[in-house]
Amino acid sequence: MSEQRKTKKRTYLFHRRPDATPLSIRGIILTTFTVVAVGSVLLTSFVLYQQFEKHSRKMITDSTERLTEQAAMRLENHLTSMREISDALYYDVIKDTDFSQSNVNDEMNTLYEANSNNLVSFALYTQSGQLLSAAPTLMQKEGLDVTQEDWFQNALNNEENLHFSVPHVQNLFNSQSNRYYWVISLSRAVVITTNGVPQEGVLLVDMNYSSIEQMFNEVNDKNNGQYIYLTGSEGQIIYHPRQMQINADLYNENNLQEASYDDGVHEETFQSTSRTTIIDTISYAGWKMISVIPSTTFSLGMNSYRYFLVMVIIVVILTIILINRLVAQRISRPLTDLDEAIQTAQEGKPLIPADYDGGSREVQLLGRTLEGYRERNTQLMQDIVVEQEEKRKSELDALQAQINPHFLYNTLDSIVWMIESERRKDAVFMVTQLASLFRISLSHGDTIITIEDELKHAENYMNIQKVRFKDSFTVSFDVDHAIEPYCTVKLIVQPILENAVYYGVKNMDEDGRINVRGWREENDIYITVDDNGFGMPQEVVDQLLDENNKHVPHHGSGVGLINVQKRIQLRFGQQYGLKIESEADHGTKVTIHLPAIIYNERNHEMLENGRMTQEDEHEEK
Amino acid sequence: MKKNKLFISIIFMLIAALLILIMQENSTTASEASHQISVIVSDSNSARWTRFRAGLEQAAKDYNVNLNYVTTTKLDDMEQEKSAIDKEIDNGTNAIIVQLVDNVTAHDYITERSKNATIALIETDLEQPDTSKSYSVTQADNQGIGTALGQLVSSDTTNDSVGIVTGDSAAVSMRFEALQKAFEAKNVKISWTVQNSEEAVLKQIGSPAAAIVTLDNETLEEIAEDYKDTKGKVKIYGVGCSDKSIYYLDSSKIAGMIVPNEYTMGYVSLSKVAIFLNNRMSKIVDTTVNYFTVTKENLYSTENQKMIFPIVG
Repeated sequence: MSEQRKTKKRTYLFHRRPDATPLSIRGIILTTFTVVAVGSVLLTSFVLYQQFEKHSRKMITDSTERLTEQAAMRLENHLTSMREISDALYYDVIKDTDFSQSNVNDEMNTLYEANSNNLVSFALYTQSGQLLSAAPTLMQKEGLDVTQEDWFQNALNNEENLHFSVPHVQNLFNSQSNRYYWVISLSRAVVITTNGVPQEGVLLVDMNYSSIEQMFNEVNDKNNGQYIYLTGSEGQIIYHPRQMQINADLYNENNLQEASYDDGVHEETFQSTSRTTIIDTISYAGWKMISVIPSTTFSLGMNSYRYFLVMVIIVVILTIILINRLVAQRISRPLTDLDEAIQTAQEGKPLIPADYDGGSREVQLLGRTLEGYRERNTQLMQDIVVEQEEKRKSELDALQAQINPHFLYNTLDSIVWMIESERRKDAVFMVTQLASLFRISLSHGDTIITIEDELKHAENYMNIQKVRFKDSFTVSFDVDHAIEPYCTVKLIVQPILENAVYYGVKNMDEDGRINVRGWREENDIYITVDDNGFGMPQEVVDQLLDENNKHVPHHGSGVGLINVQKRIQLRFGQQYGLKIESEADHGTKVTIHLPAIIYNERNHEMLENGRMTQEDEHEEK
Repeated sequence: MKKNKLFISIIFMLIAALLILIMQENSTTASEASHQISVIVSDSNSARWTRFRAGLEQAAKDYNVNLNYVTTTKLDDMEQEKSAIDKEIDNGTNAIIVQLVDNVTAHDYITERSKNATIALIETDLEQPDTSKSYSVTQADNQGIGTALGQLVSSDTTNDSVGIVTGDSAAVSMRFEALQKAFEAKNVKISWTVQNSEEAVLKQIGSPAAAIVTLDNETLEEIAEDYKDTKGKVKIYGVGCSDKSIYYLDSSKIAGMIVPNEYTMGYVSLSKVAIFLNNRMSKIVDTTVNYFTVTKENLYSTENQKMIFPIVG
């Protein structure tokens, strides 16, 4: 069962359609090698690519994580320095000052000047919102009530802590140059001493938002889609590279969700785009620093690698195909050579060892085996020829044997009849004639004799028959002597004469007449036997030489004529033989057609051993 | 023979694929900021364009195009503007974003020139919009601005009579129409209507109105300047978008103001053009940007301060 399936599979692999031309060995080798090799290359590349992508994704994530940590550290340092300024102002200046006698404007200004890059202003308010000191020295806006501001309330509500606000536009002082500042307010509750009486107040440090913005813009300078942004603990955006687009609803950020994540790396899908986010909490302010790596960033980094990989794959496939072609050619060349050699060997030429020696061991072995087969085949073919020859010879002998008793019986019958009627002379003549006849008949066992002998034999026969039939018919021989030294198969005229006697003239009332004529025409010799006997209708004539005709009597004339025909044709070829012409009541004419082959030893031997080929014939002629 | 042909064609295909890949990789590395977009507005360096320009620049960064913000003086007529546009097209810019000085006569010119470069109008459409739409428009909602301004002025019942300073831009006339309708609806009496601030000052002396309404940033600044020392005796309203006019509002010299969302106008107009240049099969749709109604009270509200005081780094 499994063997069957295997065979079926194999059949499907290389012969998909019965009408399709089967692939050549080279094609099969080339196709399979290429498919296997290309498949392996593709699989390997795919696995490698996957690994590389994973690795590069990890590398990008790791480096972003480090970058985020660094940025967080910078921001923390910045916030720390802001807190330290606030501390310095409070612990070193405000605490030591009695505001009934002096203010802290000078100290504030000094500190402000030292940090003016990162600061917009300092301001110290009493619990009721009255401005005590400020740096730089500016006019407070009219009708301003700072007690309603978030930073003010937060500071007083939670006195222990420092409070970082979200970015907002500073709305405290009259700007002289129409300038408005985005600030982050750092506010804290302070104790203000006036006339030795401590009371609560609020110290406000407005940090310049643009320093934080700059800090992040540097980090976000990369043009690969990834960015870092900053939110408050509630998710309100503090910094975003696309802050304005977000404000104008031109861009959306997943800030509210992401601010709730724990620190670390998170995978998420936002607006049907998958992305990796890295969260880092800023310890002082409780802010969240969020790094976003869209999946396109990873693929962007992989793009050139992908191009490179595809190029390498194409080059490798090209090389594989070319090498496979060479290999396939190398393997199949001896086979195609051998195939060609076999084609020519079919014409009888031997295989040349060089045709298959170049191939592998198997091909050489195959070549040698084929050559062995071819030799044995040739031998067998020769054997068959010899066998056929012998068969034919034995058939000839059989035919001859078929005549001899037939004729002998008839003659002996005549002699018996003569002796019985005491016609000794005639009997002696008959026996003499018979002896001569048998001499020629035997001819040392030869089949091929001269026409002269054959005609002599015919005469002997007719002499015997004339005696037997009391000269009830006449026989005349009109033969050109020139044909006498030519070859003939023996005993071909006698059966025809026999027929002429028995079916032609034997029972005629008038004088029967048999004429034997012989002559040569070009390279042909013709011997005719014609009688003036009863003749035959044409349909009988047609059947006389038909071997397959069952109606022809298998004794006497019928068999005799077919024998003669076959014997002539076996020796000389199909174009020779007998021709019978007859007309009812007018007689019959049988023509023997022979090639003109001179009787000599060589020709004799050749004809005895088989047939003379046409070339031999012509050569001879 | 047939097999050989197949083999050769496979080899050729592979080599062709290789060449295409090499070429493509070279082109992807070299295709940075391939498009140039020019922007032509009147008096380009005026503070009035700060927010608009910030929007343009951000969009140029986001869509990776070269922004050429053409420096102009105040363009008085269409001819000046035409020559600026022609110059940009001659210099091979891919697209032009333009604020039309005159949206009545520019029709044929814009239709014609849109064959040479992608044209995007800002602030106003042509008075008779082109049916084939060979250009795109990102305009302020001028009708809405006019109406909102009318409502803002009429919400203060002391404003029983107003004087209107129209100005000369295309956007102004649209705002003016809507403003008139709003005043009609609220039965606010228009004492006078003048073209510029100088005339307004003279008119105000002759027939003083309770409020002066202006329709563009420039006139608003001028009027506010003229009346800054009157301690709010005459209330000033208008359409403004510069830091100066906001400062005047903050310091109560202006009573109320409509601020068109100029940042969005800049960002959207350029991003639409950039998207179109990257894929010319896409269609540019017209956009109308919103505006904010601002008074001293709501100037510092969380929502307003985000748009009124842009974080321009």
